[in-house]
Amino acid sequence: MAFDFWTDLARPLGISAVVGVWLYHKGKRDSSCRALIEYIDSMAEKGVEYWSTPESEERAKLLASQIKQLSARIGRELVDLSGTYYSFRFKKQNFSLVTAFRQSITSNPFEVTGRQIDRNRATTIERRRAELVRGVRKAQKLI
Amino acid sequence: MSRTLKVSREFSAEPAGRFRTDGPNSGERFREELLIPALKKVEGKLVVDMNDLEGYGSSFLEEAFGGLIRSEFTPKQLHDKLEILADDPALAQEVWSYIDNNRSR
Repeated sequence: MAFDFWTDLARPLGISAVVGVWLYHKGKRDSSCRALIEYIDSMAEKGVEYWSTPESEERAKLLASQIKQLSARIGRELVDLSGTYYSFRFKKQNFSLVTAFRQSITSNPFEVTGRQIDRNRATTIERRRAELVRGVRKAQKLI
Repeated sequence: MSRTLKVSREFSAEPAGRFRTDGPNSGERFREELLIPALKKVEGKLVVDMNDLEGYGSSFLEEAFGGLIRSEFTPKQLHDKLEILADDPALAQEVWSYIDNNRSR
C-alpha cells in the first residue's frame, strides 16, 4: 500500500497535537483547581482554630493574618482560573459563595478587642466551605 | 473630577479590626479619617482601590462601608459617588452588600 502523507502522517499528528494541547491545559486547570481547594480547606481549618483560640494568645494574631492572606489568594486564584480557562465557568453569582465563606470566618467580632471563643462557628465554616468547594468543582465540571 | 483612594498607599498595608480600640488600622478609622472626608470633598466619583493588599476581614469591611450608612449616607448617594476597584469580584460584592443591606437608615 502506498504511503499517503495526509492520511498516514499529517492527520494523526495533527489530532495528537490537538489532544496533547487540550490535555496539557486540562492538567494545568485541574492542578490550579486543586491548589484553590487546598487554600479553601486551609482557610477553613485556620478559621476553626482562630475561633477556638483565646484572643490573648499570639497565635490568634498569626491565624488572623494567615486567614486574610488565604482569603486574598482564593480571590486571585478564582479570577486567574476564570480568566485563563474557558472551560472553568465560575459564574458571577457564585462569587457570593466566596463572600459567604469569608464571612463565616472573618465577620464580626473577627480581630475585635474582647472577642470570645466561639466554637459554634465551626459548623457554619464547614458548611460554607463545602458549598464553595462544590461551586469550584461544578465550575471545573467534575460534578 | 474623580479621585482614587488607594487603600494600600493612603491607609495601611495591613487593615485590621473593626473599631479604633482594635488597633491603628481599623475600619472605623479608615471610614472616619479617609472615606468620609474624601466622599465629602470629591466632586465626581470616589474610586476606592482595594487591590494589592493581603486580604481584608469582613469586620473591617462592614465597619468601614456599612458604617457609612449608619452615619450619614444613603445607599443611593453611595451608588452615585462611590466606585469599588477590586480585581476580586467577591470583594466588591461584599462591600456593596454591607452598603445595600444596612438598614440603619
